[in-house]
Amino acid sequence: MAEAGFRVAGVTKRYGSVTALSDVSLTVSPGRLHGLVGPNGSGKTTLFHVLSGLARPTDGRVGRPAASVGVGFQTPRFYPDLTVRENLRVFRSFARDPPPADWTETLLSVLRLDPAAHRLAADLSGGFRTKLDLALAMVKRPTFLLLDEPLADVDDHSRRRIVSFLSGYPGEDRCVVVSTHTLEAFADALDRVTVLVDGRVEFDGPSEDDALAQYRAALE
Amino acid sequence: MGVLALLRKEAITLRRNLGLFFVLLVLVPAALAVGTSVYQQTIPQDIPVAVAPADDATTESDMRLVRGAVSFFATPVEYDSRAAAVEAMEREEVYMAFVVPPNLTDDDANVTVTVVTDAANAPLSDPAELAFETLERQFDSVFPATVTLEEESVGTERTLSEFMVPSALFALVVLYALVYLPYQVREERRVMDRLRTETRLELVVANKLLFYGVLVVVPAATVSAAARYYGYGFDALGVETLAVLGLSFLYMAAAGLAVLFFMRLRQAAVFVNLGLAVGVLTLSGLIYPVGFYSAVRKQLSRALPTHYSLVTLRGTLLRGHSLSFHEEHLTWLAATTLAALLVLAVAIRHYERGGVHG
Repeated sequence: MAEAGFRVAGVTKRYGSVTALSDVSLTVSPGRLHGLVGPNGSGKTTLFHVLSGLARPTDGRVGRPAASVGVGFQTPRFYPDLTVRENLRVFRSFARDPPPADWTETLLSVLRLDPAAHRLAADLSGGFRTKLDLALAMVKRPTFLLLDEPLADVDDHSRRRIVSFLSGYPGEDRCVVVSTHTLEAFADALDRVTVLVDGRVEFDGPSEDDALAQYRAALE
Repeated sequence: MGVLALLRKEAITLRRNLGLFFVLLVLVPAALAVGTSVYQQTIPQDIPVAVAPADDATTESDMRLVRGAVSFFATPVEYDSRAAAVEAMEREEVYMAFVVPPNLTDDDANVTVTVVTDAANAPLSDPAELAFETLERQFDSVFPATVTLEEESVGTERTLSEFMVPSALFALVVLYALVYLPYQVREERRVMDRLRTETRLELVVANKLLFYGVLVVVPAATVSAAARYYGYGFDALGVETLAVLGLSFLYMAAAGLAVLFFMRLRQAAVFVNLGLAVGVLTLSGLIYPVGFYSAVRKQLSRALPTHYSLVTLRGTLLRGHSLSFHEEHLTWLAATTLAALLVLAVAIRHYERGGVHG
């Protein structure tokens, strides 16, 4: 039986006089690649922080699943003084039931992190940093994967590999939520789209053949 | 033009980091200036000294005479017996003990007042010699009886170099706990949000306290090796000394990290902790016993747990004291540790409530 997912009900988040999210309701369920899209400043990252438990809503409720959740950050988060492989080893050890060690090798290979495996994370270029952050989010093979702009600074070839890898990740039991302001890369892979504009949900539904057209229509 | 533009850029940086510059350019210098005012004289003028009766025959009049005679350079504190006075001296509550014989008020009597000093307290030996000579003249002129002063030293005699070893070790632990560890945690600020999604920050911090706390053994071992090389005849790796160092590290590191998390890992927190370290090093009686300080500063020093850490450390290292000898100090240190850990837990909660950082 699939895990219950995230349940966001009437969430508002304010920072002083600025309202980042306004009465947002949303359900994130397993078996999907769920796109959370919107222009810059639409509240995507704030919603991500609320989903991941890093920020508390001003109003409303957030139900989180009991299953494992992996989080990818817009600004990569890792130990700067550890190598790529050491970072992966440390964060894998946090998992209650870690996946087999070859899963780490798979991540290194698919994300093309192999050449940088023994480099200090602090010394990595922007693209490698993003890929390390993605690898850390996935290292425990979580049931729910929340990714905020996972393709930032990544080269085109790696982008295609990452999108392809993430498309196959959900299966029936897992879920990937991708927040992005550039829908093109994920347009063909999404199962569901939520469009945020100025902190409000303008559209939330199954992705159609032309997700990009759906998005543009929601923006208008 | 280029120069003006660059200066304007620096002015913007200053405005954006006003808190940091305030700490660095105002608070730290102020702490240093306040710290220097602690040292008001090179020869103590109101040093706490013990006055105790030699036996039951000593009268209140005898005691009063001695209290009056020593008050030109000291603050007399009365004890019931010589043993109690010497114990207090070994806990650095007082820095000399006057053992008062009976018959000081008898014109025809020949009496001997014993002045007990702590052989381990090297910085006090020269001032004590000076005071001793002055006292002999003072006692002889003031007391009706013919008075002889007898100096008696208790404990193992230590040189100034030996005396400085626990001070140096303690100074290192202060900098390690209050400056290095918070700096090291701040260096990892970018990973904190990920850690919050994978585990509890309290657990991360507890592990750091444990790991870096255990590492305190390393400087203790280094100091032990140096002490052995110089033939000082004490060992910083004794269980008692390690326990004092460990406890001292724990409450100072917890306090330093609490400052860091309260300030949400900002750079200014490192400078606040540096200021705290300077204050602690200045006020804890690192080199001069707090008896050298003015009355107000003495009170301040004696309110600081770090003063008791240092006294207990000197006790275990230089005088070979057991932990039970310093039970009261250790209870105070343990209470400080619990309070610091509690404040740290509140600081971490405050940090987490601030949302996502940087």
